[in-house]
Amino acid sequence: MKFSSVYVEEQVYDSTMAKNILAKLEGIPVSIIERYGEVFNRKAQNFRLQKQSPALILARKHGKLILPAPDGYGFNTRPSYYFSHMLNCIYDCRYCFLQGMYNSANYVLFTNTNDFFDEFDQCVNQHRESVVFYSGYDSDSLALEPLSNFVDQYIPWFAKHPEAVLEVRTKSTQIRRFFHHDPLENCVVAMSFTPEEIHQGFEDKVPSIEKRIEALGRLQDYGWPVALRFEPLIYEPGIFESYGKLFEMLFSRLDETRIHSVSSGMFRMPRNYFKKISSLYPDEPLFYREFTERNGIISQTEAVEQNLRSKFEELLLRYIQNDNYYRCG
Amino acid sequence: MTDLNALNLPGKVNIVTALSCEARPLIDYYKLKKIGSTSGFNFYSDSDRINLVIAGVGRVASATACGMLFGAQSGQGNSTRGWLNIGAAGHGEHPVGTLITACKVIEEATGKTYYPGLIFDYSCLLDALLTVDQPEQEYPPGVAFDMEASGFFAAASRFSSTELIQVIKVVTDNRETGTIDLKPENVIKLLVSQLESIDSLIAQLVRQVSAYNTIYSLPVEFNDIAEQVTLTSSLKSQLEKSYRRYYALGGKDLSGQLRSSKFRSGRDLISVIDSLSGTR
Repeated sequence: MKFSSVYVEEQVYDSTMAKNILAKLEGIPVSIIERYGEVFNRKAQNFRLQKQSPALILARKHGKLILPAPDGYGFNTRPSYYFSHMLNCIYDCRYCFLQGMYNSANYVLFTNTNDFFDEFDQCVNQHRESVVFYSGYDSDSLALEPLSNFVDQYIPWFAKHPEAVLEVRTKSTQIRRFFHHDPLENCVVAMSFTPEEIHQGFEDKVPSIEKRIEALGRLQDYGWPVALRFEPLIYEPGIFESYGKLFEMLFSRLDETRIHSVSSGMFRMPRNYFKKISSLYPDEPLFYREFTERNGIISQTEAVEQNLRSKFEELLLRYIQNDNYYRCG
Repeated sequence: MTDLNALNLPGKVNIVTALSCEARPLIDYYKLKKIGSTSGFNFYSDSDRINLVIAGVGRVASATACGMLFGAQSGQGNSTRGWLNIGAAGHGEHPVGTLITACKVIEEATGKTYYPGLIFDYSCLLDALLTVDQPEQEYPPGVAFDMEASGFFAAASRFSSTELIQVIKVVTDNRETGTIDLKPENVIKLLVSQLESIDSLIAQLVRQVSAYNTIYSLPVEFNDIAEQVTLTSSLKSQLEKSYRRYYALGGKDLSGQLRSSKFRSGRDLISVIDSLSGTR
C-alpha cells in the first residue's frame, strides 16, 4: 500500500496503533495536524485527482462512534448499528456513494479502538436482545488490514460478547488474520459481488471475482460464517447470463447450506451525492443512463428495477433457500 | 503599464515568485518572454506551458499576483491552471541548497493551515512551511520559513483544485548561515542547481492540468454550438449536460452531425443532441 503522505492528529501521535503504523510507513512524509477535518473536509479538493495518490490520515473519532443502521440495511429486525473504523476505501468503484459523500479521497483511519468498544458495551447493555453491528459502511472493513489490524482488534471483543453480532462487509481478500482466531458464530464475513461486466466496468482495484470466492471459501472451510452481498444490482445487457455464471462459480466453491445469509441491493444514491459524482466524472457513461428520483434518492427506473430484481432472484433462488435471502434497502 | 486584459497568458501553469532572482533561473531555463507589466507586477510567458509573475515580497503581494493572473486569464477560456509558488526559504535543520515541496503551509500571523494535494512524484523532501511576516532569525527546528506561500495558497485555491497548487522552495539560509550572505546571485545558483527537480514537478503539473481540462473544460466546439441559439443560463446547463452525454456515450464530431440542421430554439437544439445520443 502506497500513500502520498501521512497526516497524524497530534493527540494520537503517541498512541501504540499510530506508532505501529508509522513504523511500517517509514520514508513517507508525515505531517502533524490538529483535527482530521482540516485536511479531509476542506473545500476545493478534487476526489478524482486525489484518488490517484491518496494520503493516510490517523485520527481520533469523536462524537457518536456507532450509529443506527439505515432502515432495511441489515439481515434481521434486531437493533442494528453501523460503525466505521475508517473513512474511504482503497478501491475505486464508480457507483460508490463515498465519492459523493466526502470532499477527499484520502483514507482516515481511527486509532481510538477502545472508545469503539466502550460504545459497543453501552449499546449492548441498553438492549435486552441481541444487537447487530455492521462494519464496512463508510469504508471496506478489511482492505487496509495490514495497517488497520481490524480482525485482531475487533474479533476478541465479539468473542467475549456472543450476544452481539458483527458483520464484516468487504470486497477484500485480506483474510489471513481470521485464521489466527477461533471462528465465532456471531461474526459473519459478508463479501460483496457483482457479475463480471460490472466488476470490469466499474470496480477498479477490487480483487477478481475468483480471488474473492476463494477467500470466502477458505473462511467457510475454517468455520467462519460467511454471507453473500449482491450489490449494487445495475442493469447491463447480458447481465442475467453473467449472474448465472457468477452463481455457478460461487455455489460450486461454497457450501450453500452453511451460508449465513444472502442479500441484494439496487443501485441507489442520494440526489446530492449523485450530482456531485456526476460532475466529478462528466465522461462516465453510467451517470447518463435513465435514472429516476424518488424521495431524494436516484435509482434505476421502476421497470428496470422490477425486471432486474425478479430475474436476479429467480436465478439466485435456484441455489439457496428463500428464508436465507433478504433485500437490502 | 499594460492593460491587464491585454496580457496574453495561455500557459497551463502559473508560477508566482517573490523576487526577480527567484524568477531568473526559470525565465532563462524556459525561455520565458516578458509579456507586460501592470501595477508593479511583471508577467512572463512561453505562450504554451508556463506563465510567471514576479509578485514582490510578502503574502499579500503573492495573493494579489494570483488574483491579477487569474483576472488576466479569465477572458481567455474556461481552462483551469496549475499554480506553483517557487522561491527561497530558511530552514531550522536542512542544509542550504535542499529543495522542499510544502506538504503543509502554516500562516504564522493567523494560524491558518493549507494542504497542497500531494498527487505527484516528488524528487525532493516534503516538509511543513511556515509563512512569516518578518524574516525569521531563530530558525526553530522541523519547519521551513518563507514570506509568501500562505497568501499564494489562499488565493490560488479560489481558482483551482488544491491538488493543482504546489509550493516548492530551495533552502537558502539556516541557523548556521543566517541571512547575512543571502545575495541574489546565491539564490539564482541554488535554484539553478535544482532545476531538474523543479522541471520534473512542472512537467507533471502541466500533464495533470491538461488531463484535468480534457475532462472538465468545455472545448471551443461547445461554444460554437451554443452560439447557434439564444440560451438562458438554465438551458445552457442543460445543453452542457446533453453535450457531455453525447461524447460520454461514444459520440463523435457533434458539430458535423449538427451542420445541416437549423434550430428554432435552445430546447430544439438540446432535443436533437439528445436524440443523437439516444441512438447509441
